[in-house]
Amino acid sequence: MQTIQLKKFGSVLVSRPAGMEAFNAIRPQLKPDIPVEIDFDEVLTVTPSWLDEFLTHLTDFNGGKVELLPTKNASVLAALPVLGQARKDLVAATVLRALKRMQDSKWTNKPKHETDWKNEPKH
Amino acid sequence: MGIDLQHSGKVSEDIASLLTLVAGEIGDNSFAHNVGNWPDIGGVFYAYDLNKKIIVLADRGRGVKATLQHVRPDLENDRDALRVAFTEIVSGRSPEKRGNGLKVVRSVAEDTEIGLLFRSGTATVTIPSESGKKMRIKTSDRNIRGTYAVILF
Repeated sequence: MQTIQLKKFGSVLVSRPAGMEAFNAIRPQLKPDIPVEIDFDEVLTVTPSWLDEFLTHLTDFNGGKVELLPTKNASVLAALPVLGQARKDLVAATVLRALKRMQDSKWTNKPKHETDWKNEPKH
Repeated sequence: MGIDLQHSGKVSEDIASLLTLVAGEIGDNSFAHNVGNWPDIGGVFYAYDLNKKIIVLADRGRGVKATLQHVRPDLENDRDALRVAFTEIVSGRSPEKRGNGLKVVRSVAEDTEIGLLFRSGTATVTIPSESGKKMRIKTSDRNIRGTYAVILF
C-alpha cells in the first residue's frame, strides 16, 4: 500500500487544473499495481473539483485501487456524497466505499485508530 | 483567505474549511467556464472582510445560462439556468465529467450558518444564513453580466 499525504500539495486544494497537476507530480512515484490510500490530515480544504480531478486520474492510473482514509475534514465530508452520486465509475465506487467505512466506524463509535476498515474484504 | 480564516478565531475550523470550499468553487468556475471566451474583461473580482464576515466574488464572463446552453439548449431563462446549475449534475464543459461544484456549494450553505447570494443574468439564488433554510431562486429586475456572489458567515 502506498500512502499519498495531500498536505504535500498544500493546505488549500482548489480547482481542477491544480488537481491534475498534483496527480501528474505524484505519478512518477506510484506503481499501477500497488493500491493507494489518500490521507487528508492537516489539509484545511479540498474542493470537489480538485478531489474529483485528482481521483479521476488516480483511479484511471491504477484501475481503482484507491482508498480514502477516514477523515473529519468538513470540506471532504461535504464533497464526498455528491461525488459518490455524480457518476457510476471508479471515482464513485472509491467514494462510496469510503463513506460506508466512515459511517460504519461512526456507528460503532470506535476511535479512529481502532477502526478495522483496512481489513475489510476487497470486492 | 482560508489560512486567514483558520487563524482568525472568528469561525470554527469546520466553517473555515467550508467557506474556503464555497469561495474556491465559485471562483474556479469563473475561470473554468470563461477561459478563451471572456467577452471583455477577463478575471475575477475577489474580496473579503473577516470582521464584516463577508466574501464577494464577481466576474464579467458569459454567465451561467450561456455556459449551460451548450449542453441544455432548451434553457429559456436565467432562472432555469441557475436551478439546473445548483440542483443537477451537468456541466457546460461536457463531455468532461464535471459539474459537481455548485451542488456541493448549495448543500454546504443549506446545512450550515453560511449564507449565499448568487446572481447571473436576471436570476438570483439566495440561501439565508439561518438554520433550516432552503435555496430560493427568483427573477430580479437588474441584469448581472457574468456572475456575482456574496457569501456571508
